[in-house]
Amino acid sequence: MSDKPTEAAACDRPAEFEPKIVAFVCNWCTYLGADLAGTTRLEYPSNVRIIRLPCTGRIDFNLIIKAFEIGADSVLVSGCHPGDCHYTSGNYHARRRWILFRELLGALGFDLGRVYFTWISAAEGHKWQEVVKEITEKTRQMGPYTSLYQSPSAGVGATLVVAPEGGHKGRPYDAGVWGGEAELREACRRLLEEGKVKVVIGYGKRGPVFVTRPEDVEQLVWNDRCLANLTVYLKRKEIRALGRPAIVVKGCDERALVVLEKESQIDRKEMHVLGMACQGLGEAKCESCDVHMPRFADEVIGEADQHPAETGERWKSLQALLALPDADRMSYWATEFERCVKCYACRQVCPMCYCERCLVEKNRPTEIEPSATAKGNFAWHILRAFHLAGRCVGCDECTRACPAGIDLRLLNLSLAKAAEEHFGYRAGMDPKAEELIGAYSLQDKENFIR
Amino acid sequence: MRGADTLSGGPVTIEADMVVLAAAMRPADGVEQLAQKFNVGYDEYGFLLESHPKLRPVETASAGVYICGACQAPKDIPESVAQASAAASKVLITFSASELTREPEIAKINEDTCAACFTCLHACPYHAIEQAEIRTPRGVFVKRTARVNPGLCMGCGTCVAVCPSKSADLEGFTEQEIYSMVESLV
Repeated sequence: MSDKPTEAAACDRPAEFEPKIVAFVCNWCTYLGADLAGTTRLEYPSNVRIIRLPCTGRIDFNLIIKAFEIGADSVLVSGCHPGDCHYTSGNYHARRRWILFRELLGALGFDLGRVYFTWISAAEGHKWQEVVKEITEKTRQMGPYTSLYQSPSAGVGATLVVAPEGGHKGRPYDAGVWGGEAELREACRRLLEEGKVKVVIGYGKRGPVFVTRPEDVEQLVWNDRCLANLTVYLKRKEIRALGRPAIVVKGCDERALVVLEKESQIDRKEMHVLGMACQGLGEAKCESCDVHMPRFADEVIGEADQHPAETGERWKSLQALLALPDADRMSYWATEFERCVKCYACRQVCPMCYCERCLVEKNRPTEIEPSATAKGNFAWHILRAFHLAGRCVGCDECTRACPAGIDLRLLNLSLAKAAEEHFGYRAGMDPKAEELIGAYSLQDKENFIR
Repeated sequence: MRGADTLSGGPVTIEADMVVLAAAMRPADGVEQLAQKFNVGYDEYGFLLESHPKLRPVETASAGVYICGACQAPKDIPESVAQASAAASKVLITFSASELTREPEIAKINEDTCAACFTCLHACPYHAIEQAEIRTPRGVFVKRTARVNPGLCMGCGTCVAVCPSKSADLEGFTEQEIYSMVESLV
């Protein structure tokens, strides 16, 4: 490549920084636009490396991360103008993913000045020239990209106070303080005796219990320690083998059922849902919870105190993070992710992570770095968070399960916030709503696309 | 009669004994919904678009969907009939061969790892992905999976990008190939 300085020049002065820019372009518009720039003899910097893909719809966020991981200084993603897609809607799908992906990068403190999105048609050779020139110049000024694998600057992570002072308002443990425990046991006994279900997935004193005999229903409890989202057990093969289940859910857990049903993972008719009216468990998620009452359960037990949260309160935990400048935010996450040992507990407890083979285990090609290094950890957490875009129901199980105490819910929350602000979408609230990823709207905002 | 010649850009004056004004034509109401249903492109006025006016006339962006008549552009009856014959011939070509020839760049799904979330099914612009079941030779149900209909797939790769486990892949633009490209570029 011509961007490497000659040996003679290198001897005289320190080698000038030549940015490396990776461009992912679609075959039908931007690639032809770049081709036109060439055939009309337009000059543009040779710093851009073009990767041709059939359509912007094919461009996966993993590719962008990969490009940075292996040393790109900027990434350009470009395709057909809206309405011009050769495949009619690939660019609309891409646009929606980019909106969410940019929000995630923003929450991580990633320098958004290094990721460019453009629409360049086959006739816009000049635009291609301008865009490449501009990106090269800007990147040259910004210098080489190092943030994804820089060592965290000490101290910044510790200054971020996310939990409210004095901790969350918890209640003293007192078994049976909430009504409904006796009714729950009675309902389960009835279901098991009548043979309507083969197993009840519920809360026990020390964790989840799987009750298969009517005489064991005394193991079930219902109190303010019933925090876990039990829907995660529905995907387990050994639980499925037990037969038709009844599952105990709170209003918030029920949202997971809605998403799972939408994604064809469960058949609602093949289970009995015991909805428990909840009074809040004193967790961070409970402070802004507005689904105390299960809405789609087969039967609802107990009585909830009604205090729907204000919408603004939902993003309260994000305020401290979003108030940080970009560089400090990146530093915060670098400090946090440094502790990550890649145990994948966050994945195992997530009701939404049900793939038989997780992408991180795919090795031909290795999509994300599997080692617990700075690069690998960033890639993993970006992957995990983005796969939950428009799907995370905010049960915060990942955060509770993390042995390193990484506040993973902040990433999930930022995407949930983006989904609500950009698309008016909340995962698991409306069984009839289209999925967020996999659908698109002509009205999706594109003010960031040139 | 005075008017403007749009080709030369100058005014023209024609002396005529009778002037017949052609009424303006516009596409039928609801053509957008129809076009979206069949995944056929349309222009800003609502007229349906051919794949390529010279190289692939009467064909559309969706395989197996052909257009003819005034839905494509204002035209008279002889023109519509000619185009209809062309479309009919294209259909006959499809039926006359015992095998359908398609582009080789189509998506395929690794049914072993497919989690059957069917996000790809919703995202596919061509409705080329369907739900399928894997059964043993004796008919015992093993699992559900997404499956690509190779006759409908146009190879855009939208399914690959939305697939969470990357069970979908696109021949000719496989993950392996693209990652090798990225790795060797920088």
